Amino acid sequence: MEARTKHRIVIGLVVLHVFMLAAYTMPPTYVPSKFHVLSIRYVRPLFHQQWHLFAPDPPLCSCVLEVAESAGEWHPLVNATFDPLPRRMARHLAEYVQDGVAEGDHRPMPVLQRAIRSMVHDFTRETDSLQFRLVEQCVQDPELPKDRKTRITLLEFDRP
Amino acid sequence: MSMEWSSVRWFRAAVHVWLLGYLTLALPDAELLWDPGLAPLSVPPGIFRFATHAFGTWLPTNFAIPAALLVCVFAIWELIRPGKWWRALVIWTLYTSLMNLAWSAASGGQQLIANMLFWLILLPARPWPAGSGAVHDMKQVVGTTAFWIIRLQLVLAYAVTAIHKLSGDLWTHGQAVGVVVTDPAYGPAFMAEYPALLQLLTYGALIFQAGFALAVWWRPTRIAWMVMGVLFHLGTGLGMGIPDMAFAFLACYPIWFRSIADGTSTDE
Repeated sequence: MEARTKHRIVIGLVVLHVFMLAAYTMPPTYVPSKFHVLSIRYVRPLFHQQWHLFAPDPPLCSCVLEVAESAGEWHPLVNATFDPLPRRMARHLAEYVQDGVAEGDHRPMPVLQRAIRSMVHDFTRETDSLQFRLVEQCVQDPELPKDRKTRITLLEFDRP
Repeated sequence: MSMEWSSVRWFRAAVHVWLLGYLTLALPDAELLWDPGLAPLSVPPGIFRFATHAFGTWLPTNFAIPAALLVCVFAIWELIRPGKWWRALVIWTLYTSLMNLAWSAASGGQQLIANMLFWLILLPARPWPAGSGAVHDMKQVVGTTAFWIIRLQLVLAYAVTAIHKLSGDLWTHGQAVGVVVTDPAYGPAFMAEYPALLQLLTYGALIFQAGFALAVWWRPTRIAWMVMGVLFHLGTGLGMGIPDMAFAFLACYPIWFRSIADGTSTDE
C-alpha cells in the first residue's frame, strides 16, 4: 500500500472518530439532533465521556446529606477526613437528592435510599431510627459568593 | 502522519503510573466503592457490555478486589516490559469495569484514562520492524490511527469543556471560580478573600482550556500551555480535592512531547 493511501485512511479514521466524540460531548444545542443521535450510538458503548464539570456554570447551591440518630446530633454522611472517592460518592448522592427536592419530592427514590443507608453502615450499625436531611448553601449574588444562605430539607425515608 | 516514539514511551509509562496511583487510592475504600448495593449497577445493552461492564455481566462483584490487584500487577508489568496488546486488553477491560461498578465515584479523568487505555491496546510500544505486505500495512494504519486519536482526545476534552463554559454566564462574567472555591465540597474557601485573583483565575482557566487546541501544535506555545496546565491541574487537584481528574490530564501530556532529533520519529 502506498504511503499516501495509508495517510488518507488514517486521517479519515481519526477525523470520523473525533467528529463523533465532538458531536457526543458538545452542548446538544450546538449539534444537529441527527448527528447527536448517531454519536450516541457510536460513542456510548465504548468511549463514553463528559466534559462539563462546573459548566456551563458551577452549581450555585452546594449540597450535603446529613444524618442523625433520633434526637441526636446531625453530622455529614461522610466527613472531611474521608478519602476523595467516598466523598465524591456522597456528593453525587446528595446531588441526586437535591434534584428531587428541587421538584418538591422529599422522599428519595428507593435506590437512593438504599445507597444512602449503605454509606451510613460504614460508621453505625443503627439504621432503623436514623433521620436524614439535605443541607444546601446557596449563593445569592455571584459577586459575593461566600455569602451563602443555608436551606435545610428534612427527607422522608421508608422503613428499612 | 508522523509517530513520536519517545512520546509513546513516556505516555504509556505515565498512564500506568496514574493507574497504580488511582488503585492505591481506591483499594482502601474497596468495600464502599465496589459495593453494588451502594451504587446499583446499570448495564447498557449491546455486545460491548461484556467488556465495559464485566461485573454486571460475567464477573461476580466480589472479584472486584482481585481484579484491581491484577490490574496493578499488569500495570507494573507494562511499565517494565511495555507493549503486549493482550495485557493492555485485560487492563482496559478490568479498569473500565471497576470504574463503571463505582460509577457514583467516577470523574471525567477516570473516563479519560479508560479511553486512553482502549487505544493503548492498538498502539505499539516501539517502531515497526521494516517489512511490507497487507498485515504490515494494516498494523501501521491501526497504530498511527490510535496515536493520533489519543493526541486529539486530549485536545478535544479541553476544547469541549471550554465551549460548555463559554455557553454559561458565570465563566464569561469572571465569577465561576469564586462560586467553586466557596462551595464547601471543593474549596479552598480562603481564596474568596481575593476577588481580583478569582476573576483572573476564571478567565485564565477559560483561556487555557480554549487555547490548548491551538497552542499544542507549536513548540513555544506548547511548552507555555503545558506549564500552565501543570499549575492549573495541580491547583484543582490538590486545592479542590479532585486529584484523579487532575493527574489523569497530566498523565496524557507526554503524548504531545516531541522527540528531540533522536531518530525515534517516523513518517508513515
